[in-house]
Amino acid sequence: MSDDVLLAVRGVGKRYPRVHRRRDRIRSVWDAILGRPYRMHTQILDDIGFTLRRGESLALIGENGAGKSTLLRMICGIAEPSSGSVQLHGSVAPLLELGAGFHPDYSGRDNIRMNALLLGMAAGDIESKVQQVIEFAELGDYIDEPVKHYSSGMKVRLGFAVVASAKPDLLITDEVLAVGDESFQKKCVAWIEGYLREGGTLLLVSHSMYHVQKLCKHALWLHHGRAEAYGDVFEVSQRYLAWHERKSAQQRAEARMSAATGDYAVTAVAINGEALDVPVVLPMLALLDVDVTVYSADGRVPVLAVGVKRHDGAAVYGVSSELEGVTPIRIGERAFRFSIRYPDLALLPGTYAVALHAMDPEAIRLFDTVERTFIVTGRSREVGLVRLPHLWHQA
Amino acid sequence: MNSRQLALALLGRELRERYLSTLGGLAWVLITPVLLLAIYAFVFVELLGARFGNRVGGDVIAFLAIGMWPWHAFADSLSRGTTALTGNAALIGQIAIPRGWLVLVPTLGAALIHTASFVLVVVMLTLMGKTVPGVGWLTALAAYLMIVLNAAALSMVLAPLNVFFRDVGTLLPQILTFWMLLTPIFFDRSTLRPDLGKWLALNPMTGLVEALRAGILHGEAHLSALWGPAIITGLLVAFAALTARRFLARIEDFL
Repeated sequence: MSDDVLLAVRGVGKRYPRVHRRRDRIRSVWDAILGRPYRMHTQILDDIGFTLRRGESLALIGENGAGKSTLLRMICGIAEPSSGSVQLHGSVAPLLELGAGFHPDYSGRDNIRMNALLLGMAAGDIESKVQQVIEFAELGDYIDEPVKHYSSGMKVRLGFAVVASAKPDLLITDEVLAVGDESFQKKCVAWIEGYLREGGTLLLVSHSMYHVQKLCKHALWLHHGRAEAYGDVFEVSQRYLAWHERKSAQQRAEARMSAATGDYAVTAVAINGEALDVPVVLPMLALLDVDVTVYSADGRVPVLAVGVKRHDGAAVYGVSSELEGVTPIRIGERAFRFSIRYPDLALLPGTYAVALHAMDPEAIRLFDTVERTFIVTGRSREVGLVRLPHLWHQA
Repeated sequence: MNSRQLALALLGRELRERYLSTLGGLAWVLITPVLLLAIYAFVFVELLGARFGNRVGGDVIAFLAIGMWPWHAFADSLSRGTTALTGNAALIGQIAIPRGWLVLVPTLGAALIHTASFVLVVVMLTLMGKTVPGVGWLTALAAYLMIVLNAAALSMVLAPLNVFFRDVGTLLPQILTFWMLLTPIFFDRSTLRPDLGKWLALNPMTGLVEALRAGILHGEAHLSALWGPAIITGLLVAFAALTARRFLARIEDFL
């Protein structure tokens, strides 16, 4: 192993025993007593591996429940890995939960001393640092009040100030920046940047991609307890955000499906095969393939009107199944599928939307409208919306 | 981590916590034994006219005191140690603190307080002329240390078991009461039926309490009474050392 590796996480997994039913609890305890893996368990993390060299900064990103905090707890020594190993070659200072390790009945000053000891500071050094911590935490006279009287912002300030004074080899923070007020957040971010410049190492958990991208060079995306992506912070965080966008689009689509209670409704749309409500990108003169499912409460054949417009609302083209005498494919007792293709789409580069309107069989009343965005890419200096077929007569 | 300083700080906090919210503060360490001795004298001697063997009056108080204080040290240390992990569940889930200390600190904290109190009781009994200083005090000291060691070792086993099954903490007070009644604290074993007395010798606390009495009250070194308890203490400490690491590693899974 290279000398500058500060943290090596290898194949780490965490299984928590199932203990709710009496029989499961007895079995799990028996496994614990014998020191063997739990037979009845929930896998929280599986096969996580990465190394962190001195001076590096890694962000852990992922949804709530992805296993980020559990991984941090194992790195800090709070929880034991069920498999794999965590090797730490230096001091660590964690800021995991609000007010973690503070005794509510003791004053801020007493808690500073105890926390400093827990962070491995020598008793002799602590007294000289107490004043420094009090100033950083901006607590004033409150420092001699019991911590239980502190606001959440004050607790996080005190926690951060103690950790900052410890100057650890590895700083671990879990969403704590979200707690303090704006000015203290800025102060913390500035402190972390200074710490990183001086060669400090950071492991950050945050849902704020701003903080993640500002403070970290690498990122690990955890998804359902597994490493989904690991690498450059921009690459990983963008993949994560794109995934998030798709997920919320899926939720919107599902919400639409369940909310479609009108007589005729658009229940599913796929643009060039993309079923989710995310912008579809296609080059100029490519194929635009629109696939639509329309619900019909009475089972009669509905009409679909399709419009294309620019992002500012300027209409480009509109047509309907009734105008062109198109009969959709019946895919269920009350569901019909319409498919319309625009080959060699001549729209000029820009952002457009396709609007889909579900109408009654008589094409008199409009019941539902769904819009989907698509982006036409290409290099063109032409102006307007669409490239009209044209011919120049030259001299 | 600076282990020694952290352990001392935790111990200091434990002692402060026990007296932090009381008006009397640490003075209670001195007041409690005096009060209790007065109560024993009133109840056992005045009201009940108790006799232990051929002991009467002040001898009864001395006999009771030398049995009860070490037992309280043992029972209180064990109770506090056993519930230390469940009582500190939030802390265990939040910070990396050596879990063994979380058990040992309250155990030893309680032992320290009771020991200070016991020393005072012995001083008072000596002033009353009820003790016989001599080599027996050394065996008494050994017996007392074994009591504390037993409490610490048992705590290290029971505290994680109490995390696994909370029934342990619920049952402990009843078990301790039963155990106390099977220990010759309120009776003299020599006054029992011989076969019963033999059975009671299997209780390690019997030998320890009797060695304490023989040592402090009569200056006699009851080495023979210490062998059995010494072996049991040794086995218990070894068992605790073997299992504590494995048990403590898993407690976070059950908290």
